[in-house]
Amino acid sequence: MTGVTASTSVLVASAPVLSAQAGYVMLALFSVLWISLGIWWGRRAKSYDGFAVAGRNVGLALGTATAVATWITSNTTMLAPQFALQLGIWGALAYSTASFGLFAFAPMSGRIRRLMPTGYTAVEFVRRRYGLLGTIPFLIISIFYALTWLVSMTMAGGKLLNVLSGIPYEVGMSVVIVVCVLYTLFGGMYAVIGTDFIQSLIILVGLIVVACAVLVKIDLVDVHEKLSTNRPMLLSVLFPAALMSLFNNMFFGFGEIFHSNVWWSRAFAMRDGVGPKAYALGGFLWLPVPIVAGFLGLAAPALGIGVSEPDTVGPMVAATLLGWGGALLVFVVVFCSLASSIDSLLAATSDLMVNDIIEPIMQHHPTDRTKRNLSSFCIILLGFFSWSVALPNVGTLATVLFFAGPMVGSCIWPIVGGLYSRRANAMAACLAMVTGSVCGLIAYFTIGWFVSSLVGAAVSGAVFGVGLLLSPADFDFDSLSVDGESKKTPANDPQAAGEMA
Amino acid sequence: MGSIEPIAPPQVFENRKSCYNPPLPIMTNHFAIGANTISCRFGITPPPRLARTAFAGLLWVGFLQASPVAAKGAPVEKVVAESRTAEFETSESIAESQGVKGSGVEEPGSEPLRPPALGPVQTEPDTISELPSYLAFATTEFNDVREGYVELHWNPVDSATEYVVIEDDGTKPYRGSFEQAFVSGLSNGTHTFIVEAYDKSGNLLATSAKPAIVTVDHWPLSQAMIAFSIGLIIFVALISIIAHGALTADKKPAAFPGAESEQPG
Repeated sequence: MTGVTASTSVLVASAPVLSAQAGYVMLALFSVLWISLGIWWGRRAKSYDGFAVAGRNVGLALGTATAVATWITSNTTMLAPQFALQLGIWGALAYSTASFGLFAFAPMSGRIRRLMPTGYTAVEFVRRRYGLLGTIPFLIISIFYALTWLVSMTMAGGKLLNVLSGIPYEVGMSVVIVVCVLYTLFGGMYAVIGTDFIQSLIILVGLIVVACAVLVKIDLVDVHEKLSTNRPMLLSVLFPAALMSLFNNMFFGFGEIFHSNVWWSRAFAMRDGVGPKAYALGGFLWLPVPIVAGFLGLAAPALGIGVSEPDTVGPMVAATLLGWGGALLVFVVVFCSLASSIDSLLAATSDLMVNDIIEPIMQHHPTDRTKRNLSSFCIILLGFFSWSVALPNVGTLATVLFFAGPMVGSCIWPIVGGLYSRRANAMAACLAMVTGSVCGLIAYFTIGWFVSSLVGAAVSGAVFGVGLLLSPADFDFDSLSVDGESKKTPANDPQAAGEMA
Repeated sequence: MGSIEPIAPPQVFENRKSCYNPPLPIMTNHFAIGANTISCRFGITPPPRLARTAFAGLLWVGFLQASPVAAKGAPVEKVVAESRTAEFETSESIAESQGVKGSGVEEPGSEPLRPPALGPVQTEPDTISELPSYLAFATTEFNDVREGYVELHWNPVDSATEYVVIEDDGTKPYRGSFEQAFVSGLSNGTHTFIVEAYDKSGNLLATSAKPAIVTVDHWPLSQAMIAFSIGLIIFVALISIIAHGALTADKKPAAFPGAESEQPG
């Protein structure tokens, strides 16, 4: 393996950032591509079922691709290297444990599909399973998480395009959110899943090329020796904060996937029996991504690459070692990963708003067309909200999203228990979410971010278990699908059933 | 998942030139082949014009970047340790901290190499003539750093294009154009850092008056192991319940500890 050897510790590189013109061309190119595909696929979304859950007939290839693309956010390429830079080898491994969330959700998605064949959202499940008592904290957590994730991704889009190509923050941020809103608006879940397929291919190929090129450029033995000499803690298996972060990150991932409607809407959209395979396969495809990305962060100290902002270390190392080609690849990968996550959030959150906020307020079943129009309105509203909050470029929103760690961690047990035990009761679920969130946030401020989800999940689990023992319910799982019987199903809606086939 | 940390306010950044080149008239059908593959597999038909436009755009981007002017920004590895005009000597450097001006002469029209500059880009250049000539860390004492990483910040220096952070053992954890450095992987104990500012010719301009002293005291290993063990127990419990539920939920009752039956009665 050739590479930079003895001189790596004193390596200096110039700025291999894309020119603004190249950035604009790439931005325009992919914007046109996504919007065109959104319009193209949108012609097939005639019914609300088609728009919201892609006719409930998504196959294995598209299902796997959408799981991978959605889970590879800009953070996978940005935060995984940061974790490695901060916490060493354990950091990269800790980030990769988020794939366990996909593995764990795989069997759950099959059960969700069976229990609620005509369901739309995660909140709908909680409402039917736990009633109002469980729905209130769950809805608050879901909305809080979805909005902060959406805004922070929008901000990340503006910042990353600015970092990589010099495109002004306001322009990059606006283009990213407008493009995502437009193609989601035209194509709904069809466009989201279809573009996810293309985006996942681009992301995976881009990351493989970057990884291979970086491995050719550097000498792994040299990197290991320099880290052993200068930063031994990054290689230590007994790095205390890193040890604590391992399961914390895993439960953050579990909580995100188990509670978020982004994943539930896909479970509803996939053909019966496809969900478990698609999520498991998606987990396997996703697993190496943060490890590869994390290695970039780990290599930075050994290569002597100065790091100002830990979250830019991945692109910085790739661009420094690979030149403009690396920067171009990173640009494309980042843009695809941003779009694949933002569109999913827009579609899933609009479903949640229509089905779990607007429809209950209306107190009657709106027509298919009304729901479709409401969904479009919600997508525009969410896009405008994200744009307006992200525009001032307030840098604290990302920190706010980390607050969501203990909150989503506290949802793990109520969801798992609600799916698999008829004894799970509303009071236990409500108390588990509230106490888990509170204790997790206390841990966040008193100890650190690397234990907050762990504490949230632990306290929530203990409270939920005690509640289940003290006051067991006797839930009838058949009741989960009762409300849906009157709704139009793919079986009696040939148009919806055939749309995605 | 999760989010990225916020990126710091805009930094001084050199606006690079780039030449304009018209779109290449040559188009191949490679992109169209890929698009057709997807369309055949999934029953969709992207417009061929879009495919050609996309491929032409990619060629254009490549040509823009490969042009001679843009190539000036290509990464260059450069061994500079031996060529420094001023070597790090703690006592002398601190004594010289109140602005050691270099005497480098810039050749007209020359385009010097720049240090790593990945960071927020500012389109309008700052007026740096009013910047101070001294150099100092914003914070010089970091006590009880529990995670082994720290961010060092310092003031910008007039005419400085590169800053180098030097640890007491001689290693240089940061070299770049921004006024902050992220240093990680620090072991227990006290670590001392100084920062030096250089101009574009590599002349030492200033050295930090006072070193930044970082005292690292990692979390107790016992506490870390307790957290790790709790996490492992929860993980095993969760996976067991989900696996058990997946295997039995639709076949027989008691998918969850304490549960009697999925179908009451």
